[in-house]
Amino acid sequence: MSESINNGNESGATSPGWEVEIPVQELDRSCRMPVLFMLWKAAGWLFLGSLLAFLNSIRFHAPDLLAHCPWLTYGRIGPAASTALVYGFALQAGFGIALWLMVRMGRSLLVQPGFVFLGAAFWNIGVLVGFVGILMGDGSSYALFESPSYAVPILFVSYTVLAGLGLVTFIRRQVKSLYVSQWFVFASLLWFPWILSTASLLLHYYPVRGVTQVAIAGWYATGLVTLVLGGIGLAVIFYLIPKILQKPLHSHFLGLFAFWLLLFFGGGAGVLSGTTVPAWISGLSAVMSFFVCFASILVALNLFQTVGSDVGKLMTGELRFASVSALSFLLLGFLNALNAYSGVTEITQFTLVLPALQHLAVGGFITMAIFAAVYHILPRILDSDGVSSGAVSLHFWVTILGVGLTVAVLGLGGLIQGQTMNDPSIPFTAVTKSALNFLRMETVGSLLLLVGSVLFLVNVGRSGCQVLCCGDGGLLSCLSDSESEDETEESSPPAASAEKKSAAPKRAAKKASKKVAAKKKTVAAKKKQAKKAAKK
Amino acid sequence: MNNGLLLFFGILVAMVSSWFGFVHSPQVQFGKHVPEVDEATGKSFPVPRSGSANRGRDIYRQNGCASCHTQQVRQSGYHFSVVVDDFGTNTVQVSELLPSIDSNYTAGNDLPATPVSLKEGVDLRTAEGVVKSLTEAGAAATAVIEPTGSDIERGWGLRRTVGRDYLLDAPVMLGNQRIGPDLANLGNRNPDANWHLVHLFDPRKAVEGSVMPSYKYLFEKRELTGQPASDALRFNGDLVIDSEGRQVIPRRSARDLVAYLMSLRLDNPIFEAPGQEPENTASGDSEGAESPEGETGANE
Repeated sequence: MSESINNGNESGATSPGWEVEIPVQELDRSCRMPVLFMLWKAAGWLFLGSLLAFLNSIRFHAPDLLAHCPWLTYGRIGPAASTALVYGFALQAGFGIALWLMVRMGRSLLVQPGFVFLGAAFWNIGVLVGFVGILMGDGSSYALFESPSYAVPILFVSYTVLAGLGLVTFIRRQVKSLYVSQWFVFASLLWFPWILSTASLLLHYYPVRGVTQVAIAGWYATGLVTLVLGGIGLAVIFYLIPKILQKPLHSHFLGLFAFWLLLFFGGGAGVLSGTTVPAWISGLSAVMSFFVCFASILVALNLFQTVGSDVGKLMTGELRFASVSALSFLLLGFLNALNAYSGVTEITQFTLVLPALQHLAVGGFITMAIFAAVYHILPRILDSDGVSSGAVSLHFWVTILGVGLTVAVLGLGGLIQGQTMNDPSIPFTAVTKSALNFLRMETVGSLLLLVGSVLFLVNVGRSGCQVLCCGDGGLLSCLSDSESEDETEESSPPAASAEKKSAAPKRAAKKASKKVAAKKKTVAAKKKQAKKAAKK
Repeated sequence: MNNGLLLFFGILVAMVSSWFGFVHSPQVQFGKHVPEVDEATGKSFPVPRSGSANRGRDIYRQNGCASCHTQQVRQSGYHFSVVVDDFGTNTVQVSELLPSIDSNYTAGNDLPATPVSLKEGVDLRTAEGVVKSLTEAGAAATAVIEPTGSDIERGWGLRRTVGRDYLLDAPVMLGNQRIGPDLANLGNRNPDANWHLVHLFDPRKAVEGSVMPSYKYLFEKRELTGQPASDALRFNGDLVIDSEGRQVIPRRSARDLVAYLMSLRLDNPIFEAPGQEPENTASGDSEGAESPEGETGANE
């Protein structure tokens, strides 16, 4: 195995994609419909989830809000929002990105895009059924696995279709040697059905007894965030940073070492427990957290070496999302390991520190990676200019401010809450009051995230709309145009920039020629009018 | 393809090992636990809930109560104290012995009423030494175990929670946030069902400055004509009325939920987590004091 890695390394496998048989645009076109659908739907779910999260945050200012409506009570809105954000947005966008990465890096057309689209559509139905089920009071009460028992089979079947065809695409790839990102995507796509089926069978259909449920639910949630979503997040980071900087990855071997560390230890790191779960689970989990911390340092080192002197470029375009994502990943590794230390756990247990860490993982690390990938994929898949840099910039700053504020406020509030809670001389009402101040401050964070989700929705929606509905010529001309353009871009990293540079003038030229044509028409019309006038 | 196949098997090994660690092993350890039956009293533990309380657990799940309330009590360690049940007949010797045991007592005074707790918060060896000297003087004394920790001092339980406490629950709703207080021992802490109903209807009425959302939809609002209904909600004797002046009658779901909350009790010591009986009865305490010996040794 190491030989093949080395071979790959020498032949340039350190950068994604290097050998061209099928034109890139044909590759992109093969997955355009399902991937675009998933990204749009994901943006919609992100907005819905952020809206509900904001609504719940307002509750801390007005606890009597909507008290007559069982559907909108705090304990239902929370899980519904998390289902929308994790299953509707993060997983859906993640799968879309995974498909695109599989197609692009394997250089093979997406197998049966129609069925993939169908799978994606049913995935949305599954999420919606779960979402409505939770609001109706059928939620399962397990964190990150809140969907009612009847929604999970829909999710599972639609996922199997969607990811199964993605895996067939992967197997049929033209480029045989594998890049780090492909390993992460592959692991992520395999891990998800494994944990989903286990959790669904052992929690919903043949429920195990007592505390074993808690252990399994914790294992599921950790695997979902660290390996399934985290795997796609890391795949994006490992793909985008070398690609956009046009540099080969510093060390292929280091990447693989981190991959195996994460794969073996990531699934159990952070199954935090109270006193009720046997001590060995928390012990094992703590040890695994240290390994994951080590892996995240390796990832960061590898990327740092790759970036080298180009640090300045990290804050441009979609790359800044990827950089923030990588930083969040490093920070998360540190904080999780710290949190697993028993002296710290004593304070942070049962406090707002846990949601703070979750925000850092899902909002900081994974969502940022998704945004980076979406802004990278959209112009390629739509064959358009993409989102204007100003709009991306605005979205970036609003989101980063929202995530940063949320994590900082909840983390700090949690530490104070934990310390006061461990002092029995302080009455519990005072403990709640101190936490409440921070929860109220967090409203600003969730408002920013809501605004961010609107900006994302607008950016994704508008760029799609420009091409598909109201752009110059609409969908059909876009398709025929792209056929005539024989861009063999991105055959190697340096070509990545060539694509944009060459694409932009062509488009400009197209527009110009259309304008000229239009002018000619008007001129002709005027001449006719003039002739008519002359006849009279 | 070789590469991909190796990758696949590598991932498979990781998946299976993780599954063995976190799914299979807990199942082997806990999956076959059955309720424990106390041979002396014939009581089974955990105590099965009533039908109403079981329905209430469903209401608890539906409304996501676990997002703000935990049901797990932590414990930092153990202390011991000596409980004297009877000073026996040799009162002179015992009263001379007392000041050397506990500085609160002076020689020659009358003996305190029994049962009395002496020498609180000491380790097992000290407690057993005291018990030995008292027994030699003819008194009946036992060393009693006392769990410690902030949760226990807050009165959230007399002992820590253990896996066995949740044996009959599906789903188990431990929770991981304490925006509200822990509920593991609620039935013992506050057994006033009416207070809980008022608290659910209007939390601010029962607890000043509470952040709990109100669950008004668990209550039926009825126009007040003539005499109020016999089951209308009252607080401190006054009829609770809603903003439109109607009387408030708890629906069955509210009563079930409160029945569930009342069924949350953490007051019986069990083998895994010894502690004090709520009623300070002496019988069986000696057993409770013996069992944790190994554990306290480990703690030290």
